[in-house]
Amino acid sequence: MKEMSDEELQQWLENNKQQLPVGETLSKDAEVYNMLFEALGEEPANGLSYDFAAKIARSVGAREKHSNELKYNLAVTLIFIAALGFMYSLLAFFMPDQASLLLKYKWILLLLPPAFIVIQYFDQRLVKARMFNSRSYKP
Amino acid sequence: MLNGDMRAFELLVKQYERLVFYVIHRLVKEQQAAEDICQEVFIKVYNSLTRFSFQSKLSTWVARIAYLTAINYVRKYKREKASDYPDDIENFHFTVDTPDQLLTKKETANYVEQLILQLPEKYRTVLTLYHLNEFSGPEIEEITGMPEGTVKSYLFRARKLLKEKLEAYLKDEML
Repeated sequence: MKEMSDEELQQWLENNKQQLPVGETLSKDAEVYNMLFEALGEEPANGLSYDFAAKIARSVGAREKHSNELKYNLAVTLIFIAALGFMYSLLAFFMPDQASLLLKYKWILLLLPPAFIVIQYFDQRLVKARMFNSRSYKP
Repeated sequence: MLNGDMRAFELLVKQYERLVFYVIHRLVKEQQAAEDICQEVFIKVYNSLTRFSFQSKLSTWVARIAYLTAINYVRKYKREKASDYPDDIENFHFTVDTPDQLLTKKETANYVEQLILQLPEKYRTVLTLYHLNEFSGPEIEEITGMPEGTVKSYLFRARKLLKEKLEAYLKDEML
C-alpha cells in the first residue's frame, strides 16, 4: 500500500473514512490519526449545571421585568406631570383666582413627581433588586 | 421569544448551551469563569435577537457571540501573550513531556485535551469549532473572521502537531 501523506490522511478521515480497498490495512500513521480524530470529537468531561437554562431564563426574565417596571414608572411620572400642567392651565384659563390660590401649594405639587420617582427608585434598588439578585443565576 | 416568552428562551438556551460551552471552555480554562461567560453570552443573545437577520444559521450566530465574548475575556484577563507562542507552530513545544505522570493510556482523549489547552488560542478555536461543534470551514470563517484558507491551515498544522505528540506518547506507553 502506498503511504499516504499527513495531508491525505487528514483528508481521508475528514471525508468520513471512505472505505479502504479490500486487503489493505491502516498504516501506523493512519491509526494514530484515527485515534486523534476520535479524541478531538470527544465531549469535555466538565459541563454546565443541569438547570443552567432554567436559571438563565429566570435571571433574564427578572432583568426584563425590572427594566419594564422602570419604564412604566417613568411613563407614569411623565403622564402625572403632563396632567398637572394641563389641569393648571385649564384652571388658569377658566378660574384665574383659584389658580393663584393653587400657587401657594406649588412646592408641594412640584415635589410630588420627584418624590414618586425617588420612592420608586429606592423600591427598585433596595427592595426588588435584592429579590432579583437572590433569584438570578449563580453558577 | 421577541415578545418576552421566557419558556421559548429557555428552550433556545437548552438547544445551544453545549455549543456555547464547547466554544468557551477551550479558550477560558477556569470552569467558574467559563460558566459566567456562558451566562453573559446568552444575555447578549437575548438582547440582540431583534438584530438577528437570518442571513446565517442561528447556531453560527450564537457561536460567533460566544467566540467574541470569550476572546474579549481572554484579552482582558490575558495571562498568556501572543509572544508566548512561536510564529512557526512546527517549533511549538508542549510542556507535558511526561504524560505518564499525568494520565494513563486509557485516557488518550484527556491527554489530547491537555495538549490542546496548551496550543495558541486560534488553533484551539478552530479545532473545537470543527471537531466538537462540527462547523464547516465557511462557517468557522463566519464565526471567527479568519479566512477559510487560514482555518484549514490551522487545522492541518494543529492536527499534525498533536498526532506527532500522540504518537510519541503511545510509543512511550508501549515500552
